[in-house]
This record gives sequence, structure tokens and C-alpha cells, in this order.
Amino acid sequence: MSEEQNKCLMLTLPNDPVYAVLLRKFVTWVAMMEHFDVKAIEDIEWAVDEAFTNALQHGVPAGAGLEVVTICIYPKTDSLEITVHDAGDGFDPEIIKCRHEEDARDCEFDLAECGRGLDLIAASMDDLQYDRVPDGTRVRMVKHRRKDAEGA
Amino acid sequence: MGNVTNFAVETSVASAEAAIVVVIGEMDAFTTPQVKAAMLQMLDEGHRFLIVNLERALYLDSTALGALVGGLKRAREKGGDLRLVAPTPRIMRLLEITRLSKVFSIDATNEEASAHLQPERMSA
Repeated sequence: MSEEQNKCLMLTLPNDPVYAVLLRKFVTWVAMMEHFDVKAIEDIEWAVDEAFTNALQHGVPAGAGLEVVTICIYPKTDSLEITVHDAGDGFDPEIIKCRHEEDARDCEFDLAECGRGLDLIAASMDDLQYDRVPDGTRVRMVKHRRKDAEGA
Repeated sequence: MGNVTNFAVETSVASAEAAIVVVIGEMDAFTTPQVKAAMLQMLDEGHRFLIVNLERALYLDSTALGALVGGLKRAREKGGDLRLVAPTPRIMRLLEITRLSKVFSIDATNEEASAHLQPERMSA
């Protein structure tokens, strides 16, 4: 593994939505330090926030006590790679888009009350991957640096 | 944990049937229940037309969008409506990404929104 791949900024948070704002500040700060442009920073903030919220909603096993969500940011020369790892059993992204029958019906009319988080992640990031790992689920997201945004 | 996010929701009555809900700060999975509760309270009090002012809303996530859609549906169930006012360019981009810009009616000011909500009944 190269030195670049080893460089990881890690944040481990309890599964409590109150920490979402802290996570957003953290990831925004890293993206700013890595000279991403404003629009890209907004995209990264949205994507990480949504992945964290998904981990809170779907990642913790029923009946579990205090669990944590671990966020790792890997700054690379031409991209920012982010993983969000929780201890849950994972989920089917297609299924959780509309978990409830009412929402499933409403999806056709854009009136669902859930399920936009994954769409927002996909729209915000350049690469998105869900992995089942031995101790939970990991979402891997990548935002590429646009050459004309260097130093913006 | 106390209010660490500088978030607030303010409500006011525009008319017998219309209420204004002002979102201040970042609306996410932690703070959205406050907005949801405010909208439901206004609806329960007989205000079937809701004006949600986003001029001072700094951030919305998908949880927030879900709550706004829920507010719209609850208002329509009562024969009313929900309109958004003055979303920032960033929130407007979020509404466009999620196609909700075609679902919500969006106005520049509270007055403009009020004018669209049963104008003959509005006094504010």
C-alpha cells in the first residue's frame, strides 16, 4: 500500500443524529484543506451526511446497545475517498428507497417521505460502492478533483 | 445534549387558515423533528395552508426533504397546501437534484406565497 493510500483522517461517532453536524464540519474542513471547489464541497458534505444518516437508520442491529459509525477520509492527489462503516447487517439500496407501502406508492409521484438519501449520494459523488464486510457494512464514495477547480 | 447546532423554528399566524414556519439553521436528522412538530401543530390548530420560509435555512438533508413532503401531504389531506419561500441557491440545487422543485411551489417572499393561498381569505 502506498503512502498516499495510508493517509487516513478518521472520525468515530456514536449512533446519534446529534453528531451529524460535527461530521459535516469535519468533512467540509478536510475538503476545503484539499482545495476542492465550493460545489464539490457541498456535494461531499451531502453525501457523507446521508451515508451517516443511513448508517443510523439501517446499520445498527435491532436490540443493540451503543454502536458507532466510523468515517475515514483518504485525501489523494486527484480525489477524496471516503468510507462510512457501521456494524449493521447491511441493506439493499433498492429496497430501502421505499420501505413502506404508502411511500412505495407515492414514489411514482415524487411524494415519498423517505429514500432520497441514496439518490443524493449517487448524484453528489463520482463513485459509490456498498460492501458487506465481516464486521458490518461499508459505503465507499469517491469525489474526483476537477482540474479547473485547483486552488479554488 | 443541548442546542449545539444553533437551530430554531419560529411559527406565526398569517390568517385563520394560514401559518408561517421559519426554519433557521441546519435542518438534518437531528433537527428535522422540530420542524415536523411545528408543522403538525399548525395544522392541528386549523391552519391548513403552510408557508415554510427557508431564507435562513443553511442546510437541508434528505430527512428534511421527507418532512417537508410529509407536511405537504398532511396539508393537502386537510384541503390545504404547503409552499416554500426563498430557498438559498444550495437548497434550490438540492430540490432540483431530488426533483422536488417540481413538487413544491416556491415563492420569493411570504407575501407572494400568501397571495397564492386562497387569496380571497388571506388578510395578512
